[in-house]
Amino acid sequence: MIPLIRKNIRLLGIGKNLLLFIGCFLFSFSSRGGTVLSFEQHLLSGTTDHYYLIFFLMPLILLSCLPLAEDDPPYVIFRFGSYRHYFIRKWISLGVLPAILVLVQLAAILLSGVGLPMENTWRLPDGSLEAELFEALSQVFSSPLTAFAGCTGYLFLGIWLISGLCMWLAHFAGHKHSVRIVVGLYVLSILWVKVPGIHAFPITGLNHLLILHHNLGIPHRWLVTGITAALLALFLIGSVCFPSKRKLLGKSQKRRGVQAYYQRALFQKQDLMILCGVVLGMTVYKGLSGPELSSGQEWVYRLFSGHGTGSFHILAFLEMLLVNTAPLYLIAVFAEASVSEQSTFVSVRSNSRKEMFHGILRTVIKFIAIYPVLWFLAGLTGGLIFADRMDLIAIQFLVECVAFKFLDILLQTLVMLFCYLVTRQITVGFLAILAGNFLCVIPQNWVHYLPFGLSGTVRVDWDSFGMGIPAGMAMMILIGCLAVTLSLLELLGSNNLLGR
Amino acid sequence: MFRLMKNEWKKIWIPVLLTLIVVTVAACTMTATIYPDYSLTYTLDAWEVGTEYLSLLYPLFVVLPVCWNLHQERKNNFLVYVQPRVPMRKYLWVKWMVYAISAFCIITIPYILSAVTALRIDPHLDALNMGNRIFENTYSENPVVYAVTLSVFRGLIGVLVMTMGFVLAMYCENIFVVLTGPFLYTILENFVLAILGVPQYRLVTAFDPNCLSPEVITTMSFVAGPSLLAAVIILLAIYFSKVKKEKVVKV
Repeated sequence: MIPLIRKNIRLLGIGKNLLLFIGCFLFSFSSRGGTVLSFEQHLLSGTTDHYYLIFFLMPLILLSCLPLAEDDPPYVIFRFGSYRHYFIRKWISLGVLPAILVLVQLAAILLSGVGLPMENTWRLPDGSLEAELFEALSQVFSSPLTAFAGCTGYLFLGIWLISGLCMWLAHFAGHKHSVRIVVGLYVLSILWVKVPGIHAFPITGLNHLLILHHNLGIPHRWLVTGITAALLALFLIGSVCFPSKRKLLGKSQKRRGVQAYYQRALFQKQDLMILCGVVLGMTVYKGLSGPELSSGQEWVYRLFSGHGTGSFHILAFLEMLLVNTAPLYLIAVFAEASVSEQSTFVSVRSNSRKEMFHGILRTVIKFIAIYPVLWFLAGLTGGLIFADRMDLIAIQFLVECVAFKFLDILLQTLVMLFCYLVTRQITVGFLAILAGNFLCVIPQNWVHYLPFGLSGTVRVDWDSFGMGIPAGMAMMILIGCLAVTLSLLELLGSNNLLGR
Repeated sequence: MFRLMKNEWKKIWIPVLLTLIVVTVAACTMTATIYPDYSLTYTLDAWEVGTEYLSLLYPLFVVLPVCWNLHQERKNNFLVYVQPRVPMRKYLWVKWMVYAISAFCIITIPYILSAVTALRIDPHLDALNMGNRIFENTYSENPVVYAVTLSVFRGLIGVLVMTMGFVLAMYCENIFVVLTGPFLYTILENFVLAILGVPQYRLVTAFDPNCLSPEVITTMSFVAGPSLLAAVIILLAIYFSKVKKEKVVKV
């Protein structure tokens, strides 16, 4: 244990401590000017300075944690008997890190407050910037000094927990990924501070673990942070003490068969990222555009609005086109690259054309199924952020809209595949879908019953928002068209897959 | 050079001619049939409302009939046999010229003919002049000059869009991406610039400047969209050739 502590101190070095001291001193000293705080209040003010904590202390803590978190060479770990013993001992030894950082910070703040009058009360001069924060802290602590002690102690424990998280990440994810994840968590913390709507989510960021007052003033915040921290600590220790069998054996069971081959081709990381990007971008755009929302239902209605019939609105049409054709485009690229190539290796290994065809179909349906899940999550979180609430009726409406979206996009995909199997050209299939979506601009009555784009809320007569055809009829149209297309695919698909 | 161009034309003349006929018939029909639902101020308004939908689909018309050919020649190793006979740079340059002329014709001729249709049908003019269009004097007094100039400019934008398909065909293996990539770009660019609040700089605004009110249209509106597309084409070429190290001719 002692050598590990020595090593940690050596790795921490003088430089970062000096930087912390100077930075903390400058922040504290600058906040001292222009206000008439007492020494105790100054200590608390220095420890709770918003910009200092978020943009200086947090990055410095993470920078200090990451190099220390990396695993020692195997011969060192070997001397501990097991990785579990090594991990726990190292985590305990990392307690030296928060101790040093907190002491350096304390020294800097104490030094910056030299000469201020002593008064350990919550009474502040008029117009003081700290009034709101001190008001919140005074609800929990009896005096500024106890609040200061509480904040410092909390910071100490927070750094210790985060150092364990960094150790775990460095071990399981490797250095490169652990840096990315930690940076991502830091960005999440900044977002939590900067984006007001995000406060409603029960998400615990690094800021909640390090900064005590970020847990004040929001209902159940303490509970969420406490449970998250406890679960995190248990998970870190548990995953090291009881590693999964798969990890222990060092090999994973890979799926085999034609379907697995197609799945690997379609479920690419960048494809999933594109889907997420489309959903996220569209949700943010919908949330920020238009008048203020009065209910969760209104939000869902706006999110899935789509394009009406009998007229042409360029922006709504483009939006519908992007939303509906994003997964189709990716499937078309996959079909052209993996199916059209007619790889001899795949053909030889599969038992029949039917097996190949069903493999493609199942893969495509699985891929399509991801999309409504993403929309559901986006609708839910978007409702909480942009509409401030998502009651049960709104969630029910969201589920219905997502179901419509799934059926609509599945139908379009199957029609595209059908065209592909008939013509052997996926571009023709894609153009057919484009044409199908374009039909909605025709000012005729029959266009209301057009299945393409029927998932748009403006096309369906929902209870609260009366437009378009009844929801039941829309659902029947989609299901009916799906049944017909699936039957046709089943009839012709296997025969046409490899050409006639 | 001329013989090479003639050779290239022989390869693509059927789809080019078919597209030209289809687009011309569609543009003329829409010009002659859609206008009764609208209130018109000038004779050429029938042309504007009739060809509105083409502004969204034109990337497909200029890419589909021509760019398949280059991709096909790469895929079936035709270019490998061309290489010893003609310098590849010259061959590609000639190919691009033939494609460019085809794309230019596919856009310009239907637009000019549909404008002629609009002028010939002489629709009933019942709307008040709101003075809400750019180049209004030319539009009202010399409609032929206006229609021909705008059609030629649209033809040039069509050539630029085709160039994007050409670059994709030079490097990309997936024909679906080659044929629909430029269309996807125009859709995305159109949507993104519109929601970012700068619709006056979209490519579609340069293509159809009357889709926005004349107050926001400036000279930049005719330059920004094509320039952005040109930059994207150059970046694509650099990405494929320098970063991904793709070769036009793979031996």
